[in-house]
Amino acid sequence: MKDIEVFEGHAWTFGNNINTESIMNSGLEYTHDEAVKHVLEVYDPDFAGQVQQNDVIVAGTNFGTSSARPAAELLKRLGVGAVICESAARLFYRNTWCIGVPVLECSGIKAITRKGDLLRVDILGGVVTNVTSGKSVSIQPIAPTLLDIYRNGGLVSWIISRKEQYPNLV
Amino acid sequence: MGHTAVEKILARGAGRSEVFPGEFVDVKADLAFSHSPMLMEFKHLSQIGTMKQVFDPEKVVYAIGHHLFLPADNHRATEESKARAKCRECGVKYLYDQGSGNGHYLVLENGHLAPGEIELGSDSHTCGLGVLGAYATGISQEITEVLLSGKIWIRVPKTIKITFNGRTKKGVSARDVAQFMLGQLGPDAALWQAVEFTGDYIESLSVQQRAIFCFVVVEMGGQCGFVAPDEKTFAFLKDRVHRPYTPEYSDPDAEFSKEFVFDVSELEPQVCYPSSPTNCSPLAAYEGQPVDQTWVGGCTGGGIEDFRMAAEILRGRKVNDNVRYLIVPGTRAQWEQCNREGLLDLFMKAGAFILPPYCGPCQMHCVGNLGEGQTMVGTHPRNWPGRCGNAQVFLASPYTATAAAVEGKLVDPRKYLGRA
Repeated sequence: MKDIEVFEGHAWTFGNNINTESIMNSGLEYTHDEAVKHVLEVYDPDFAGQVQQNDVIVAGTNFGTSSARPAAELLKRLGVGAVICESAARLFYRNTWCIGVPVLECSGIKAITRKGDLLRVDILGGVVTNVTSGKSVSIQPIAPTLLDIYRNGGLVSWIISRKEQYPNLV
Repeated sequence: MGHTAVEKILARGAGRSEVFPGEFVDVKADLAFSHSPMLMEFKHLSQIGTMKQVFDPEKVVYAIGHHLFLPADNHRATEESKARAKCRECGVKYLYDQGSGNGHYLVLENGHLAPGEIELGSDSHTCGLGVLGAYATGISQEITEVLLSGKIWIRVPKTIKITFNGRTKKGVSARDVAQFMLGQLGPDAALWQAVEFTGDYIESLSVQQRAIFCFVVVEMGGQCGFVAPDEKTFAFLKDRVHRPYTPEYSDPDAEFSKEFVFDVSELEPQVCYPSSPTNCSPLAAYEGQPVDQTWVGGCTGGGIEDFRMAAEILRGRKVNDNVRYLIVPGTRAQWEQCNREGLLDLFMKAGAFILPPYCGPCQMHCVGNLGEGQTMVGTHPRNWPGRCGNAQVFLASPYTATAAAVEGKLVDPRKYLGRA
């Protein structure tokens, strides 16, 4: 079981209704080496090339809408620390926690964040603080199973940790 | 206070007398559906261990041919052969191979889901199966957990009620009405929620045309669509489902989070313009827009009635030389029905490409992909950035997509339908 630590990262800002195909392009799902170069390029051509470890995506409503593809595999590979948004699409939310990237729904995050601001993310404390501006917003409750999955390091590790519960698994 | 049908189905699935919106509950699946994109469940299992058998071989459907009617390249050929072998190893009884068609249509046609049941699927458009009065939703990565345990956690959704009344004008189809709804309500109108469709217009439609509304629920962020099962539903299921099932209906005093009522009688043909499925405009605003490819198929356009609409336009006419026009029946059964009615002959002579059943060039998985700067119009559900390369994608009814094939541009299809 891993500790969920407070971390800091710089913000990359996006709008509302960002779709998963713009993160993991259709046709490139099988070639992550190529797909990773195009993550979110339609919205910010600099993102994939310049994002740093623990940087966070800050977005508006309905982030991750559309396809159920595991788009967060590419966000994880780029080192994205968390997706922080006004609201998240349901499948993206479930998938992304399962892949090991937190999705934090925080009402008001867009208004307090500018591109490049340093954010401090305290998942267990339930708060995201903009270190640059000093303002903060609270994190909406997280589905308990997803938090459990995340603590275990993702869906695969979570299932392994409960292996005795599956009589059909050897 | 009463409950909505979706709440009642989830209560039964959770083994509870009642559940309430916002609660987290574990529910049992009556059907697990996978179309195995990127073999994600098998990749998970390769790290976890060996699944001797899926949780219940009777309750698992695999549609390997959902995205591809044949492997598009060596990599995908290898992946699909692995998927087939793995399915056989773990006792999947209902394995629909490549060329079988769109997995959601296969579930519908082959009686894998019944009213009151719960389907959990790897694909986001699983929500369309609520047309049978079932709870059906996408769960993506967590399909691995469902295949192993037959259970998953769900946050019980609130339900939105949308009523459609009236009859559409000639040349205006359910795809137009569904598009209009998306335009009116927007991409996050139903975020995490269920949507129940009702009204005399919905009642007037076939099960397959009703399904269009349920399939597009995810385009407004919804968890599942739902249509209360009626005589049409039961007639549709009569020779398909032979097990007992219990339909659920929303109580008269059920609480809906929002209610919308639309009258469809004055609606004109609609078009969705690039690049979001909820962009909607009267077609008139885009008349004259040139197109390079147009097609009829996909989960919101691959049924027999969609091809009848296409044939109505195309009868006695030819596909324009500047256009590639694709006919993509949803399943072999739809393909065969087109054949029986002489539609394939009509399409072929008019110059169409008739493809094997699958979900079509809704995205770049198989064939019919577009080049830089090209434009497509189709009956499929999505046109987000990154879905078809850099192409401009419009969404419309089978009438409009086919009229565009005739003229090489978007035009009002009613000029080919005679007088109303």
